[in-house]
Parts: sequence; structure tokens; C-alpha cells
Amino acid sequence: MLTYHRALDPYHAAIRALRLFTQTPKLRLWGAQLRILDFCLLFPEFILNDVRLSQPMKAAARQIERVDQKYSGLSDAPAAFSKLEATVAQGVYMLLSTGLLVRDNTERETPSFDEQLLLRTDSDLPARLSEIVMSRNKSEQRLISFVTGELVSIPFMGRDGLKHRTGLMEFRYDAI
Amino acid sequence: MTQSSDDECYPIIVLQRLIVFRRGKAVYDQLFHAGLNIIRGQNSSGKSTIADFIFYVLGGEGVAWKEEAATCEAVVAEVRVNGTILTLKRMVRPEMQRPMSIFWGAVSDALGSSDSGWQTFPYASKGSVESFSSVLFTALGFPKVRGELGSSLTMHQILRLLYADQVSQMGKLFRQDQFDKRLIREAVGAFLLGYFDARLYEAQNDLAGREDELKSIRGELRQMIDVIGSEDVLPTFFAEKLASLTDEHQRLYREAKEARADSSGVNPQPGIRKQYAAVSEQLLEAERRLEELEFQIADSNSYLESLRQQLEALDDSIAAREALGMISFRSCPSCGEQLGPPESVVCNLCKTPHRGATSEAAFKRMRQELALQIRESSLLQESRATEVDEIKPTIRALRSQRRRLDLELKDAAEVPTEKAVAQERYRKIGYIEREIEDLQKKEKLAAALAKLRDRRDQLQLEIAQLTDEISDRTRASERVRGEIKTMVGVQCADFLHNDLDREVVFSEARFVDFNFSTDSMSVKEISMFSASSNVILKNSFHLALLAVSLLREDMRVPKFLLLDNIEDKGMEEIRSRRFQRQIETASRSSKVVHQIIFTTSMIDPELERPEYVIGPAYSRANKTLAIP
Repeated sequence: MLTYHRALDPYHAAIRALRLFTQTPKLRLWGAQLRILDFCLLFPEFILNDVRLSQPMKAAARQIERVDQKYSGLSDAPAAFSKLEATVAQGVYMLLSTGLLVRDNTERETPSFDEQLLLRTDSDLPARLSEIVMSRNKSEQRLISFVTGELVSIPFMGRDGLKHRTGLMEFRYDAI
Repeated sequence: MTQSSDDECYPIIVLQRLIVFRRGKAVYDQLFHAGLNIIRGQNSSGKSTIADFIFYVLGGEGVAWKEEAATCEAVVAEVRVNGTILTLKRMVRPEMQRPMSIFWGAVSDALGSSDSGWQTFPYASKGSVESFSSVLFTALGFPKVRGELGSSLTMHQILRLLYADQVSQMGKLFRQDQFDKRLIREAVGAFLLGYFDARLYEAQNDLAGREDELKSIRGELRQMIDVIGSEDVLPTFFAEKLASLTDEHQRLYREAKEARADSSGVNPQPGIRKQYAAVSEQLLEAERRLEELEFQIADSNSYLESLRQQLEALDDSIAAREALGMISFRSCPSCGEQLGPPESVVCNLCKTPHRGATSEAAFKRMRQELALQIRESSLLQESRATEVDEIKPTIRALRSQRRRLDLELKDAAEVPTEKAVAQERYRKIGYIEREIEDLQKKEKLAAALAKLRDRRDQLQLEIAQLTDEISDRTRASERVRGEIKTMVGVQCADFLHNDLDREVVFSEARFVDFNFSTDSMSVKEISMFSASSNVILKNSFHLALLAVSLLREDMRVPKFLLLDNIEDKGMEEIRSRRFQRQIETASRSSKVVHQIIFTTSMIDPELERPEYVIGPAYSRANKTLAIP
């Protein structure tokens, strides 16, 4: 019997990436950054329980949808995060291949996924896809705006950056 | 006061011989006599020392022994006290309150008697042991004074008024004393002058005692009346009630015995108890099941929610797949090279022939699995909800059943059986026994109350009688006091008139006022005069006291006077001689036995006669104490 989990579905990863860029069209994200934001979309309770936030942000975080769900299956966040890397990358590659996203630092020959700088192109989404993306963003309004607003405003690298505060990636050797 | 002959009016003290011992030898030994005795000599020849010795051996206190006197070990005196000859001995010590030894006989016998025949008495009475003051007072015929005052009235206190010494302040009647008290002075004055009424003093003490007793009885009566109800309740009242209660007690006892005899006692309780236990257990079980179900329902809800979310994601994914598939890959994700137009039979990317939408099918199958799981969970939730709906009323029913059984149990316990009847009787018996006990106490109390009441009435009567007696005696005492004070005051003024004309006030005075309470005297309201005049005034007072005591039988002054230094150092010789002659006149003109002893450094030549002078004319070379 096959059990479906959206975390391991590259298509769902692609939808989530599109949700991020649809909410904030001018968004430019490092690949690593996108992975972390994506992780927060998947497991909103992670934001409230494990991410170090300022008091005002914490108060806003409490209002997020699904922030208290029990059966998300998340026990070890860093382990889950690394397990998801391939799937998320795959989803993003699909979007790159279909021209919906583009990378902005092609001066480097072969940057790793994490080092890529991603942004949304002008091409339109197919109607059905657009429907799904808008609908999910609407029903999780506070979650998506917190992730693309508050979390994006936190500097990504270095001490007290998003990497540090989520504890999902190494930050100590970041050259800022 | 008794008289043994025409000349003698008791009390009397007459010093007959004085001996001072030092290291076993007599350094002073002189004979004295009734009437006038003069010890003469230069200043600082030891005259005052002899006066002190006389004062001390008779029972005086607080003598500051001078150097030579302090080296003496004992002083012995043969005295006549009323009709008895006594020999007194006291050891010379600086400490206070030394005892006195007394020998009933003449000194010649006493000194030969070693220790037997001598008795030693302490300064103050201790228990049954008499003080020497007490012994001497008995010899003087003084009445016994009871109480604190009695123990304060000592030879010393009396001698303070009979010995006019040099040391005491001018203007004082009494010789100074370390523990001087106004009340003592008043008592001594009253006692000696004869207006002290021992019976009055006793009556006052008795009255105080009875008033205290009455007060405490009143208090006790009040308390008793609180318990019993009234002062007039007779003990018989309680006796009647007791009799009727005792009857009832016996009746109840009989009934109780009968009831206990035929008790069978079917107890309906065990059946109800079993039921109650069963219902309780069922109820507990049902409540536990309900709790379990509610937990499972809540838990399942969470699970269902997550399943639904997965389903939704899956649907999204399927739609995205289709949409993205439409866009088709334009470039290779790996190398970035452009791809050709899409073909339908093979995958645009990897050119693998389509095997009939296998991945799509897989997704679709996954979707079905999920939907099935959801449906199954939902059904389970429904059945749980149904069970909850059934259990809740069951629980309510069981609860009310249990409540009912509980009440039944309580009721069953109250149904009186034969055993219960007996128990009821016993309860009443206990109650009655307590009442009986209470009444018995009250009966006793009533009897005690009656006795107290009688005592109270008696006391009130006695108090009234005593109060009357006291006021009568007080009046009488005051009258005598007034009389005697006047006599002494007038006599004293007479002596002052005969003084050399040095004080105008003296010659004009009709009366000298004196006050034991304040220990003072005054002439026409003036107390302080020149030093010599003060000496004259003081000595006149003492002489007047003695003179009046020779005239009245009701005074207790022991007709003894000791004056140390007729004159002070500044007095004119003429004046002193004049006063000396006054003393001699006063003494000579009375037939009543008395003794006056005075010391002087300027004796009137007319008085320097063998029948008056004691010992030689002392000088600094030939002192009173013959110490080598």
C-alpha cells in the first residue's frame, strides 16, 4: 500500500514554491532560503515551536493557520529538512525548466541548488494551476503572508539570521 | 499603771550602776541614783561617750562609736525597771541590731554568774523567741501591741524620745534614726504620752479584717446566687425535685430492661447494601467507558484532519501535474539545452515511451487509499459518537438509582426496632443522671449559701459595733491627747520664761507647739532660733515631758531623761547654769521617783554636790574611760 505524503511529492513542492512567488512577485530567494521557507509552509507548527522569534513576531505567529496540528509527522526537524532537499529541488527544477522561474546568477558555472538565486518570470500560470495557488494562499492567508513577510525580512545568513534561528542549516561560516 | 507606794508611779527606769569593760577590765564603773545625776568635765573628756553607752545598753541603736569606745568589748548596766532589778549586758559592736543579755538580779550576782542565769534575747522577735524589747516592756508593764506596729515599737524607738543627744539636728524631738518613719514616731509619741489606745488599734485592725472577709463573702454569695437563682432558695426545694427525678430514673431503667429482653431485630439493610454496591460498580464502569470514548473521538478528529489535508494536497498535486505537463519542458533541466516540440507517445524529457500513464495511475491509486482511510476513520467516529449518545443516559439512570438506594439505606437505619427502643430509654436515662448530678450539686450549694448568708449578717453586725467603738475611742483618745499636749506645751513655755532674756519670743510664749508626726516644735510659729536658744528649747521640751509625766498616771513615759550637753559650745555660762538650776528645781519639787542624767562642761557650782555628781570632774588628761 502506498501512502501519500505531500512532503515527498515534487509537484506539491512546485505548487508551494509558486505560492511563495505569487504572494510576493518581486521576491528573490536563495535556494537555501526557499527550502527553509518551504519547510515552514509544510510544517507551520515548526514556526511557533522551534523558531526563535521576537515578541511581536511570536504574537503574529500564534494566529497562523494549522499552527497547532498534531499529526504532521514531524519529530526531528533538521533530519526531515535534509530528507526533503531532493524533492524541493526537483520541484524547483521543474519550474525552471518550464520557464516559470529563472535563476539570476549564471556567472557561476555550476552553482549548487542552495547557492542559486531564484526569481519569478513574467510568464503566466496555466489557469488551473493559478486557481489552485490563489485558492490555497487565500485559505492560508496569515501563514503565507507571515512566511513571505516576516520570515523573509529576517536576514538569511550569519548570526541571528534565519538559518541560525531555525537551526536547520550551518550558519557559522557565512561570510557576510 | 499601778502604784506600789506613794512615791512610785510606774513605769520607771532607774540606772543604778554602769560598767564598761575593755579587754576584761572595767574602764568605767560608776553608781547612779534616782533623781538628778550630773556628769561633768571639760570638752572632749568622754562625757558624750558615757551618754551613748547608757543609751546603747538600754537598747538604743545607731551609735557611731568613737575610737576609744570602739575598743571596749561590753557594757553592763544594773537597772531598776518598775519593781524589778535587772542587769543588762550588750557587746560593743558597730553592727546594728545586736542582741541583749539579761540577768534577773543585781550586777554583783550577775558578774559572778558566768553564763548560766544570763539569757540572751535578739533585737527582733523571731517566731516564738521574744525580743529584748518585748521582755523589757513586760517588765515596764506596757500593754502588748499586736501586728506590725507592735514589732516596730522597740526600746530603741522609745529611747529616741528620752535621749536628747548632741548629734541630732536642732529642732527635732527624736534622736535621729536611719529607718525613721512618720508612723512610728506618731505611734511612739501617742504610746508614751498615753493617748495610744491599744484597744483602738486592735479594733481598727479587727474592723479591717472583718471588712475584707465581708467583701469576699459578698463575692462568693454573688457567684452562688448566679448558679442557684436567688438568695432565698431553700435546700429542700432541690430535695423535692431530686425525689421525682429519681423515680423517673427507676421507671426508665425498668422499661429499658424489658425492651432489651425481647429484641429480635430483623435488619433489612444487607440487601440494600448489595444492590448499592452493584449499582456503584456499574456506574463506575460506564463513566470510565465514556471517558475513553471521548478521548478517542478527540484524537481521531485530529487524525482525520491530517488525512483530509493530505488528500487535498494530493488533489492539488494531480492538477499541477496535468497543468505543468501541458507547459512541457522547453529545456533540459540538466544541461539546459533546448528541447524539441513535445511528442505524445514518449516522454518529452527522457524519451521513454509512455506506458499508459502509470505514474498518474499510481497517484490515482494513492488517492483512493487515502479516501478509503478517511472514510473508515469517519465511520469509526460515527459509531463512537453513537455509543456516547447511548452511554450518557445510562449514566444518568444509574446515578439516580444509586441516589435512591442511598436514601433507602438512610431510612432503614431509622426504623425503630425493639433494640432501638431500649437504646432510646438508655439515652433518656443518661440525660436524667446528668440532671440528678446537677441538682445534687445545687442542693449542696444552697446549704453552703445559707451558711454564708448567716455569716454575712453576723459580720455586718460586728462591723457596726466595731465602727461605733472605734469612733468612741478615737474621740476619747483625741481628748486625752489634747489635754496632755496642752500640759506639756504650757510647762515647756514656763521653762522658757525662766530662761535668760535672750529671746523675746521665749518670754512671750504661752504655749509651745510640738508635733511627733513632723518631728518638730515651734514657739509662736517660729522653729529656728540661734544655736543656744535651740538647745534651750529642745531641752526644755524634754524636761517638760518628764515633768508632766510626774503629774499624770496615764502617761507611759518611764520617767527617765538623758540629756547630753546642757549647753552648746557657744552658750553663755550664765544661761546654762540657769537652765541647770531649772532642772534641779523640777526634780527636787517632785516626790515621784524619777531619774535625770545630764552632762555639762560648765556645771553650776551650786549643783556640784556629792548627791548629784557622778564620778570626778573629767578632763582631757582624766577621761571618763580609764584607758591607759
